[in-house]
Amino acid sequence: MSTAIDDLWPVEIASVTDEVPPVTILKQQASLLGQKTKNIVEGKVETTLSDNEGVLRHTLYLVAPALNFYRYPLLDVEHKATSMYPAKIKVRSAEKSQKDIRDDIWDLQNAPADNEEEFKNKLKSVFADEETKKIIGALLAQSGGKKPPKKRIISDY
Amino acid sequence: MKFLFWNIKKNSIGRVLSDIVEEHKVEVVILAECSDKIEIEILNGLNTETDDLFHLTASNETRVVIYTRFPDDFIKSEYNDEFLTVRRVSLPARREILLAVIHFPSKRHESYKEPRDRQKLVSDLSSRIREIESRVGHSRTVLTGDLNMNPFEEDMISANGWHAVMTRDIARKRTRLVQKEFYPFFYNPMWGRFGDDTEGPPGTYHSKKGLLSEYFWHMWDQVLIRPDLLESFDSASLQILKECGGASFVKPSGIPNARLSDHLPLLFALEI
Repeated sequence: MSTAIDDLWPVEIASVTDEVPPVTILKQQASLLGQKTKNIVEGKVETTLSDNEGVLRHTLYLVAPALNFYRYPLLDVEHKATSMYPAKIKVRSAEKSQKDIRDDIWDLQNAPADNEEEFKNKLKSVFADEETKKIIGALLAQSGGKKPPKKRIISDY
Repeated sequence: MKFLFWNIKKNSIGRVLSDIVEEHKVEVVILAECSDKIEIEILNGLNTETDDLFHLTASNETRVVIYTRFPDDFIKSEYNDEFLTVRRVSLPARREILLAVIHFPSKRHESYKEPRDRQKLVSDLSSRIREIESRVGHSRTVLTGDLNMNPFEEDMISANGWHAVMTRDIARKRTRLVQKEFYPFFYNPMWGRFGDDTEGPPGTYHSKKGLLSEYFWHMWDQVLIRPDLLESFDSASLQILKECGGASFVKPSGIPNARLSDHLPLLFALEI
């Protein structure tokens, strides 16, 4: 004899908000970077679980295929897995160790973005920062010029 | 999905290649003898006049370069060595396939002049592909590249070689039992592209060396299809290209124009 199981879940289970998640915005921007550079420098987003329990970390990498697929971690975005905002942007430093946070930008971004609009504004300022432009410019310049030797051997045999 | 394979003999073929991919709507471009120096120049050329940009995928140590219209998230490396790369192509709402690309050493290669050395290498590479198919759980495999041998050669047809047969009917039997071991078939449509009674050129490579025996035309560049992909392969899509966009890849005599490449490009499609 079968017993009906009570469904205790509410009828309406759906996305809690119309806001675009930070990871989606990052992926869109990663794709747009590729469009701007003709994929000479591409953006890649990878998501991991942060050391803090329950916090997701999305890292935006700049990838240069011509430089042995060198990956530069430009920034991290962190937020709780159970809520998309507030989201904190942490910018990496090119000059210091890649684990360091870039002081000037970090000051600007220190306050978490409370919503999609704030998040986009903060991202825009990171992308427009002189150091960010310098890093992308350097990757582009090196990709067009002489490259470091690879393991790959090309011969006509 | 349309694929183009071309051994470009280290030449910067820029505009010619972008004309081919635009005219034939190619999604995967596979090049042999594409040096580090020109791989980014070629990416630039491919992306100059299109919004549907190509991505350069990581070659690692293998001797071929693959560009795709889709990001490399959808084409994962399963295996790479100097001569073989195997990629798992898995696009949304499409069946996953394995793309194996070979640039086999020529008979002039110091280590592979002897038939038994070549035979061992073919046997190792084909065995590697079978292992990967077993690991990923399917054999929807397409193999393409510069195999540096003709379809009728021993290493192409032997069971522990490429085991590539000339008809679909034989390939549909899937495997053949030899000395208590089952070996899967490949279908080799290149058999049907030989000679001057076909629509395209008589082969993909031409040589004339003054030897007693001379074939003149060779089919070094090939595509082989596993039985599980046969229904996805339309023979009509297979072309050896000799011209595109007003540019001819052959001399007036009909043989490949080595100023571009001494090989002709190979185009084929899979409905996946």
